[in-house]
Amino acid sequence: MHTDEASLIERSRRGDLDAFNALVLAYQGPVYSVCLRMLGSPQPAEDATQETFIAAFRAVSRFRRGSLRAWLFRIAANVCYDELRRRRSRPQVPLDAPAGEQRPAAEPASPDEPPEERAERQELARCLEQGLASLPADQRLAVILRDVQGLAYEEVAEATGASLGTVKSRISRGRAALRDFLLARGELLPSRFRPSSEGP
Amino acid sequence: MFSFNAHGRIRDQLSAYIDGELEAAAAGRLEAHLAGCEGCRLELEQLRATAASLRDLPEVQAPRSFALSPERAAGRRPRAGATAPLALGMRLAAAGVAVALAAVLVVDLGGLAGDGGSGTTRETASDQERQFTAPTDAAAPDAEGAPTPATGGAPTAAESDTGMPEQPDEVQPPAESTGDGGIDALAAAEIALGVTFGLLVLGGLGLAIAGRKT
Repeated sequence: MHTDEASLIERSRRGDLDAFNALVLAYQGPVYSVCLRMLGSPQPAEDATQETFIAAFRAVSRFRRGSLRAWLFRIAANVCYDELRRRRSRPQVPLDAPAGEQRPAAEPASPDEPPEERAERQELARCLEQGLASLPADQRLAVILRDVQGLAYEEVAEATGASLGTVKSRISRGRAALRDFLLARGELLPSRFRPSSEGP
Repeated sequence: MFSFNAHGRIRDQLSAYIDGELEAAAAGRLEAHLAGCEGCRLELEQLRATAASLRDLPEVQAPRSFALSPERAAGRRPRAGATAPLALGMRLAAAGVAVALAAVLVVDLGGLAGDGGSGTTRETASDQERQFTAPTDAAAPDAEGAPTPATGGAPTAAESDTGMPEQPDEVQPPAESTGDGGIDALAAAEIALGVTFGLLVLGGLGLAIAGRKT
């Protein structure tokens, strides 16, 4: 853990709101990103992110060791699961737009990137977001934490409350489902990866 | 010639292999299989490309600051004296005043001099306060950075380090909750406290009116 972060955590544990807000600013992007991809649209993601940091401030006095970001992702995941459960129990409430339609916006264009490549990359990103949205929540969370946020398997286990074996399984199945999703949509993976030469 | 099951086992391990999460012996067996199996090699490359594409997804920026204001932070901290003391106090006062006004109207119109403010009412208020201050921070993992396992996210017997049998993997919310029930209970306790407070005020007003009439 970074020394500055450790110091901020220690001050936060003593009730120092400025220190805690420094941690909020450091982690609000990743937390919002996870919430957005778990919930599919901006407003619920904002609400979940805010709720995450409120809950974290309430509980930070009990945080002593381990990965802070995994701990924050764990709280965010719980908030998102609660929201998903609410949606299932109240189907009359309009759900978010169809998967992928309100997904994270594309990054700004790079001046050096040819327009065709940029369009192709954006199309791949859009399709990946749709594919992520189509995964079961547990697999989606594991893949987001591992591949998008770059957590180690142990951190993913910490953030999801699952065993390492379960994490491996969810990442494996999630990636395989995403791969199938991309292949089913044709041109998004290089042709050499297409299933025409699939083995046994 | 490999059996279908052999291919299945190998393919289940490809993701962990890509991430260097496979034990040395299992990695050795997998590599030996890959050397003679074009289909599994293709699958490995597809999964690698998928993971790489995910890593390249554009970074999402927070749309605004989520820093907590002192009010918000204080209002949500149980140790700061119940939950949201200022807002709660104002709502309690409003509820109490509303009930008291209604009661005064009734007393005044009916010419009754109630003898409220009984000990039973006070005990009820005390009970409500104890209920109200119950902690509601169930969303946060337990202490020491070691969150408790969640029911839905807990490992299942069908999943293991090596074998990954198929099983439904629907949304499995964890046991921990953000305290929705707590919020509902809070609202109920708040209303009950308001009503009780109102009754206490009513009792006092009733006694005052009775004293004035005599």
